[in-house]
Amino acid sequence: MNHKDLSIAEKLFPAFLPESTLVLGVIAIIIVGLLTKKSWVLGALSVGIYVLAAYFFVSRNLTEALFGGQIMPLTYAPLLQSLFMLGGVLTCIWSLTLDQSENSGGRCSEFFALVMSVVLGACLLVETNNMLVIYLAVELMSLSSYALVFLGHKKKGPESGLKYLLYGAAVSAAMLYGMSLLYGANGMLDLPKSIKGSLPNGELFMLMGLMLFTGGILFKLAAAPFHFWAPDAYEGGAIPVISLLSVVPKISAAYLLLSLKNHLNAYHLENEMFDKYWLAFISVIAIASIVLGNLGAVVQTNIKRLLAYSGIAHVGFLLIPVLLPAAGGVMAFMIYALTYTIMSYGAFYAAGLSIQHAGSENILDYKGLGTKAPMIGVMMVIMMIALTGLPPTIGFTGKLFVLSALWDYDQGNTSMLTTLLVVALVSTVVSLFYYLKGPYYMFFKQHSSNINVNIGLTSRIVVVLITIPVLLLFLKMDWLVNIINHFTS
Amino acid sequence: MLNVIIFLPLLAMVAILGLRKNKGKAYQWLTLGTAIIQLVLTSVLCFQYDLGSSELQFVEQADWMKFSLGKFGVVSIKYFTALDGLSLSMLILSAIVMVVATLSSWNIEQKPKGYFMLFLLLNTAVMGCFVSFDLLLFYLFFEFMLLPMYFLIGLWGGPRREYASIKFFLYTLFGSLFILLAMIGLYTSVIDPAATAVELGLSENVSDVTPELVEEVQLRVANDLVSTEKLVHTFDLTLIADQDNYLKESIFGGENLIWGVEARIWGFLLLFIGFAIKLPVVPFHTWLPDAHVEAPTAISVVLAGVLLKVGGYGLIRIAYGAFPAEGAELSWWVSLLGMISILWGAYAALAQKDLKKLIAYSSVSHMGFVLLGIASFSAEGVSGAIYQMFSHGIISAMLFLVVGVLYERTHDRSIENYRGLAGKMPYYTVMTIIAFFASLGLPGFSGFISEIFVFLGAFSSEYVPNWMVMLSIGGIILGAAYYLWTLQRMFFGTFWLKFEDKWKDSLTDLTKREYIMLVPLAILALLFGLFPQRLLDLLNPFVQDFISMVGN
Repeated sequence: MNHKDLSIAEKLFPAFLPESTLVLGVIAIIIVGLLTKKSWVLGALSVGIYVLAAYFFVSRNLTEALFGGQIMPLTYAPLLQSLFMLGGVLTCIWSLTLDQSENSGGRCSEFFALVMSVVLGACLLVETNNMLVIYLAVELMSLSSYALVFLGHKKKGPESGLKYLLYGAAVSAAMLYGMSLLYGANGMLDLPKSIKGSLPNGELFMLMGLMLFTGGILFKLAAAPFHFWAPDAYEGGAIPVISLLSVVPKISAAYLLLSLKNHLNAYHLENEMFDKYWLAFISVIAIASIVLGNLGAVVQTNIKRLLAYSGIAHVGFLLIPVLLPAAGGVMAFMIYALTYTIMSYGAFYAAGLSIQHAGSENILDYKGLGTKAPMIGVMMVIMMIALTGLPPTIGFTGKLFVLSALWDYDQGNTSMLTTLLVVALVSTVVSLFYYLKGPYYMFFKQHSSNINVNIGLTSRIVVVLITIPVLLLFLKMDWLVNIINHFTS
Repeated sequence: MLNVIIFLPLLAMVAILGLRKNKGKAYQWLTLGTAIIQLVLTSVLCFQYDLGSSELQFVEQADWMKFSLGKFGVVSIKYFTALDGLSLSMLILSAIVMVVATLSSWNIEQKPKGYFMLFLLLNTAVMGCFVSFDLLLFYLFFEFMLLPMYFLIGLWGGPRREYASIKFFLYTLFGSLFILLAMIGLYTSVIDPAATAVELGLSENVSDVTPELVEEVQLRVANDLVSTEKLVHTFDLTLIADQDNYLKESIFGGENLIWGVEARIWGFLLLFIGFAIKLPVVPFHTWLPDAHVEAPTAISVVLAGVLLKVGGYGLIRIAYGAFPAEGAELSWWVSLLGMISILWGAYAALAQKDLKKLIAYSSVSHMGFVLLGIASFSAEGVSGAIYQMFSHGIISAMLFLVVGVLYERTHDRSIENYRGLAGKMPYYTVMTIIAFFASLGLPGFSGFISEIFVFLGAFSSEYVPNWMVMLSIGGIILGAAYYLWTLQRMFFGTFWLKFEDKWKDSLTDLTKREYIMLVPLAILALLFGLFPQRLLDLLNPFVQDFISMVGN
């Protein structure tokens, strides 16, 4: 090994420390899993690794691209990566409180290692524009997700996992084909540069490649019309797993789209055709997601499927900032990502408690749960109100920022965006109808006898800890803004 | 003092949460105590209020949230409560109605803890709504009314309560989303010149900013001399009402067209529809009869007495406050809707077989007068509209209590099932007659004053065509018809009941608690009918400001 190589390694290792921590963490969990079967040891180890990695992510001050432009210094990446760490921590702690045979089929070390791989994939996805890295990150997330869903539920797990895998594999292939077209058109792996489209007659290539590529990302996002896998996968997965899957991969994939657009603007690589198609395409996807997600949820009685459809509708909202110019869009995106993470975990936690105490995933079996166990009932009401987007919850904060950014940019001049605005508003009314289904059965119906109302102390603490930020960050939404501003300066 | 009035119920709510059992009706006493303290404090405010001044009084203002959004500018959200004539009159009304409603829920047996906690939450939301001068704060309180109301109707209501409560929730949410859209448009369009001056370093803090400086900042902003990052966007309603604070390049400041119609017209329409659903105005009224019929008596009282007024209040304060010129432009349509509401409500009331539904439709009819009065943009008309809101609050509370008395005894409200009640329950009949006559606008009662003022204003106004006013008078005649007919059918003639043996013993005359609720309301209806001056004086400075906005 000569001297020059060593200096590069010395330079790269501290810069790549956070990701390395996670990689080593995955290995460590598997090795420790061979030595002990105690779930809390593995859980504590994972949490420790997440905390350490979060510290490294935030303290790393990436100023230049790494590995020849494969890892980019993107402004908001550290914040999102910390958010993913939070998701990982919540999922791990939550899993520890559950029966391991239900949650991970007794395969604890695999479970924690796979969760960490999902998180690692998401972290890589938000800091790159290189197609190869994007593909690797997406596959890392996806393959781990398939396995996690497989581990979950005894009966439904394998079926859901297989469906998810088949759809996912097909979409990955299409995405890879799209990437190869983009690469073929320009000979560049850097996505913004290859979109610039310099070849004669390269536009068709570019458009086809881009569409296949975006389709793959939208599949990860579970945006309509690429959403059909979500309800099945959610139904089969254990609840901590699907609450992870409904947040971390979605936000990272959406951020990829956002940074892709902003990169084009920042490097003055604006491509008029790209802008025009982008706006139309993403608007249609957002409208379709909001409409199909909400309409799909209306008829659901399984709480997991209902939340899956609700997640599809929320992706529609998350996509709105993606089509706006950077100035207003990024802030709205970050606010929505932060608030959605918190309230989505809250909603899944409330659902998890209901499933645990009523012994069923069917909302119709939650009769009287709210009266018998007011804590679950009240939490459910607050989380559902948050998902609807009503004050005094952070759901309103998110909606306020997204719609403000949209309307301020649009000012009623672009009929597509105005339509999107109207759809977003009207759908909120529709969504209230199904979000109230849970609270409705919990409070309005007489209780059935087989409800177990002993809520453990840990669960009580988690309920309070998750509910407080949902309310508090509405009353002090400036804190959210200040956190985000902290990362821009 | 305003803060105490708003947040006292929350304190009582926490206290109830802490109590394990409802020993000696502790929940009821706590709620009643809260309502009485609120009433006393409001009365003290009334006496301290300076009638001559048109300035806001008892102002409490603090920065709630302030954050920078980069190129968009700074967003400032205030905790801003204050009183003017309109707010104070609505505050008194709410305090009175809350006391009565608490008394009326005295016998709640089923889940009293939840009931009174939600009731107190509703109380906070209502009081907060009427005194908020920051749009976001108002919106927070406005939305906060929905959830308690949903559960109060849905859990303690009549047989079709579930349908009624979800219908109520969906309708009002639909309305509030319109308001949200307008709110976003307004805060992105309006700046706070004083805070912008501070941001630009022209002044040390907001209180030092002189009117000259404000004008200078407005001028600079109008000429694009201020970088957008320094602009302070605001939700402050007093600033939203000043057209000089609108940015040129913004949704409601510029001359945008949305689908071929001016953005400012859309802004007015959004707010108008949002509040019209709450008021309610035909054709957005269909949630009201359902909600009223299914709600327990006390909740009907609050709904009719106060919640509908939030709609009228929002129209006057926010829809017309932000878009006066557009409101004036559309007043032909607004008064048309007012006329339709008056007639439609009255005709529908005439056809009802259920006493409570009849009264619910009469509310629709009476709220039509509010629209007609506002649309006239005359001092008499606007005073009349606000007076009508106040008077209807008192009278409709009484009407729903009257229905509640009957329902509590027999659990049946069909008009055709009773005859000749006057002989069996004479004092009850007297109270009913007072309530009915007050509602149909008999001279001497408060309803007469408000209606006469609305008509005077509407006839003299150039905004309202005379034929609409003349048709609206028909509403009063119909009102007399349905009330007198009901009296004749239910109370006069020989005594007869559908299920005589079952109901005969339970049909006793008024109890002490019912007197305590009904008599003061009757006295108030008379008092405000015979001596309207005091309330009109209170409203006058506000009304003068209001009509000067459209430049009469």
